[in-house]
Amino acid sequence: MANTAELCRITKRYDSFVAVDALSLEVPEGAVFGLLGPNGAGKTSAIRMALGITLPDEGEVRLFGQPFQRAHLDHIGYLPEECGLYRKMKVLDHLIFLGRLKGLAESESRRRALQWCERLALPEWADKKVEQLSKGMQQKVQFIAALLHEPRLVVLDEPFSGLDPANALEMKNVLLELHQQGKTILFSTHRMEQVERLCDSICLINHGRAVLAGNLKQIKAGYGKNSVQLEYQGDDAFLQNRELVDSFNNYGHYVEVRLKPGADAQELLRAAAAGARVARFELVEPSLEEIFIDTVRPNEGNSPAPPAADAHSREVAHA
Amino acid sequence: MRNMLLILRREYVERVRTKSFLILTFLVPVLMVAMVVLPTQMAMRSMGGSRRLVVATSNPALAEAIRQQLDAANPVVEAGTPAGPPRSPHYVLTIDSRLTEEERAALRRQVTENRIDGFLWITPEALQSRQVEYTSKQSANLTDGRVLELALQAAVMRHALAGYGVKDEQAAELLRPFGVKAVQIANGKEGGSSGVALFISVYGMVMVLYMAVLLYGIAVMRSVIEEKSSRIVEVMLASTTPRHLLAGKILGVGAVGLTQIVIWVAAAAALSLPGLVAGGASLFHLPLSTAIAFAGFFVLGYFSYSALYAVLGATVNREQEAQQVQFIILMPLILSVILLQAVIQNPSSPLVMFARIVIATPPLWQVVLSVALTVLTIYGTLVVGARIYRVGILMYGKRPTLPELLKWMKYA
Repeated sequence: MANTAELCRITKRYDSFVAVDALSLEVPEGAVFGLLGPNGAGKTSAIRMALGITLPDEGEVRLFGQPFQRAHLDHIGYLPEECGLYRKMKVLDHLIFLGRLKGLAESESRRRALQWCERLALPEWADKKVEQLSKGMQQKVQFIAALLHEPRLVVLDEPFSGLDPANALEMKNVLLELHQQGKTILFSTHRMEQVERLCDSICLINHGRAVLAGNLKQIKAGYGKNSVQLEYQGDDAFLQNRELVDSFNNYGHYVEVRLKPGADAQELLRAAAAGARVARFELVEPSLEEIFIDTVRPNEGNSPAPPAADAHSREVAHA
Repeated sequence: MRNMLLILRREYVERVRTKSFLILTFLVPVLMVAMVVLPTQMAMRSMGGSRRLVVATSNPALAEAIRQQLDAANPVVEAGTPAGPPRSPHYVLTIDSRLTEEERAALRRQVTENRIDGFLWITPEALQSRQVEYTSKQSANLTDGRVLELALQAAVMRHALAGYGVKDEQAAELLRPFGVKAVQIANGKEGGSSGVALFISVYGMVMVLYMAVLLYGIAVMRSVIEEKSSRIVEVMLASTTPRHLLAGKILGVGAVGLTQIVIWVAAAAALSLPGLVAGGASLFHLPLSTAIAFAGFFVLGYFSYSALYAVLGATVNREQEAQQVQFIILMPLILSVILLQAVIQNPSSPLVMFARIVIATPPLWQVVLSVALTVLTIYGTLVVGARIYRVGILMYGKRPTLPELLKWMKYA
C-alpha cells in the first residue's frame, strides 16, 4: 500500500543542537500511526517538518506519494499540541476562516462548521467568542478546525492532553470513525496506553533518531511473551530474584515483571507463591510502556555528550 | 495570494469591529471640533465684555488720547448692526490725576475688591523711561497687555505729534495700525492660510501621523505576539506560508489604519470648509494635496515600522519583554518629532518630509528621493524581517541575541 507520509532522513539543526537527526519514517495509507518519544525527543520538530511549517536542513518529505508541495496542505488537518485559536474571534467565524484557508468556499465552510458544532454539542457556543469557552471546549473547536476540510491525513500533536475523560472519549470515537473512512492518522504522544489501544504502527524516537519503528503487533511479538502480570498479596521478595527478574514495575498489589532471557516463568510463580498469595498470574507480551522505557533507557547511556543546557532548553521549548 | 487576502480580511474585519476602534475613530473628529470651537468660544468670552480701568496720570491730554485710542481699537457697536468677533474688550476709563502713594494704595485696594479691573500708573518718570505699570488681578492676560501697550504707544505719539502742530486727523491717519497676513506660495499658487494656523495644523497632523504609525505598528506587534503565545501560528503555518501570514497581517492592520486616517482627514476637511463652524476655517486648513500627502506618508511610515514591529513581536514571548526593546525602534520616530520644531521654524532642513511638504513645498526631486529611500527601507526591512519572523514565531524560550538573530536568517 502507498505511504501517505514519508520522511526520508530528515535532519533539523539549531546551531550546534540537532533536534531531528536523519529521521526516516513511513506512514502507510489508512494507518493510525503513533510517533512516540520522551519530552524533547524531537516529535514536534519532526511533525513541523512533515507539514512544511519548517523546512528540513537535509532529507526529503514526501506526502501522498509526491515530494512535498504546499498544495498538499489542503488535504492535511493539523491539531497542534497547545490550543491555538484567536481568542477574540467568534467560534463560527473562526472555523469558517480556518476552513477557507484550507481552500473551502465560504458557504461550504459555514455549512460544515455548523454541522460539526451540532455534532460535538457546541451549537449554542457558535456565536460566542473563543475566550469565553472552557479549555476543553476550545480544544473541541480546534479539533473541528483540523477536520473541517475532510483531510486525507490528520496530524495530531499530543491530542488527548488536557482533555477530560468524556471529551477524550468523544475525540477517540471521531478518530476511529475517520480511521474507518480510510483516513490516515498520525499522532504524537508520550502516553503509551492510548497508543496501545489506537495505533497499528509506531515510530519511537529519542534524541531526534528513530530507535524503534514498525507494526505494533510485530514489534510486540518480537519481544516475545517474556512479561508477567501478577496480582499478589504479601511478601514481594521474589522480585529481588536476579536470576529470573530482569526488571519490574511494582504498583503494590500488582506488578509487571520482565523476565531474564531464557528464564522460566513457572519458577517465578513458585517463588512468588512461596511468600505471597497470588491472585492472578499471566504471561503476556510486554506493554508498550515497558518497551518504551526499555528502548529509551539504555540509549541514554550510549548517546553522545548530553546536550548543552542552552540547546536543551530550546528543544524543550520546541517539543 | 488567496490565503494572504483571507488573512488580510480577517485582520481588517476583526479590528474594525472592536469597540476601541469605533471609539478612537469617532472621538478624534469630536476632539477636532472641540479644538476648533472651544478656543474660539473662549476667545470670544475674554474679548467680549468690558473692563473698568483707571488711568492715573498728571497729564489729562494724554489720558484723553489713550481713551480715544482704546475706543478706536474697538468701536462701540450700535445695536442692530452685525458684529464680527470683537478684536479687544471694551474699556471704560476713569482718569485719575493724583499720583500719590496713598492714591496708588487705594487703587490697589479697588483692584483687590474687584471694583476696577486694573489701573495704569503713568508718572512723568515712567513716560521718560517708557516703562509703565499696569496693575490687575490677571497679569497673565496677554490680550489686555498687548492692547494697552499699543494704545499707550499710539497715544504718546499722538500727543507728541499734536505738540509739533500736526492736525489730529493727520495724526490719526499716520497711526492707523498695520496687519501682516502670511501668504504661502505652493506650486506657484497662493494659499491663504495664516502662519499660526499653518503651524497648528502641521504640528497637529504630524502628531497624529506619529501616533497613528506608532499605534498601528504596535498593533502589528501585539498581533504577532498573540499568535505566537496562543500557538495559533502553528495552525496558520500548516495552511499558509509565514510570508503570506506576515504580508496579510501588515496589510490588514494597515488597511484599518488607513480607514481611520481617511475618516479623520475627511472630518478635518469638513471642518476646514468655511462657514461650517464659526472661526473653524482659520484653524483647520487642509488642501487636497496635504490630505493626500498625509495618507501617503501614513502608509510609508506605517510600512517602515510595522515590519520592524512584527520582527520584534516574533522575537519575544510576552508583551512586557517587547516593551524593553521597543525603545530602539522608537528612536528614529521620536527623533523626527523632536526635530519637527526646527523644521517648522526653518523648513529647509532635510528631515520630516511630510511637514516640509505642507510648509515649504520642497523641490519635487527631494520628495521623490525621500519617498524612494523610504520604499527602499521598507523593502529591506520586509526582506530581513520576513526571514527573522518565520523563525521567531516558532521559537519559544530565551530572547535571542543579535548574533542569534543573524543566524536565524540563514536557517532553511
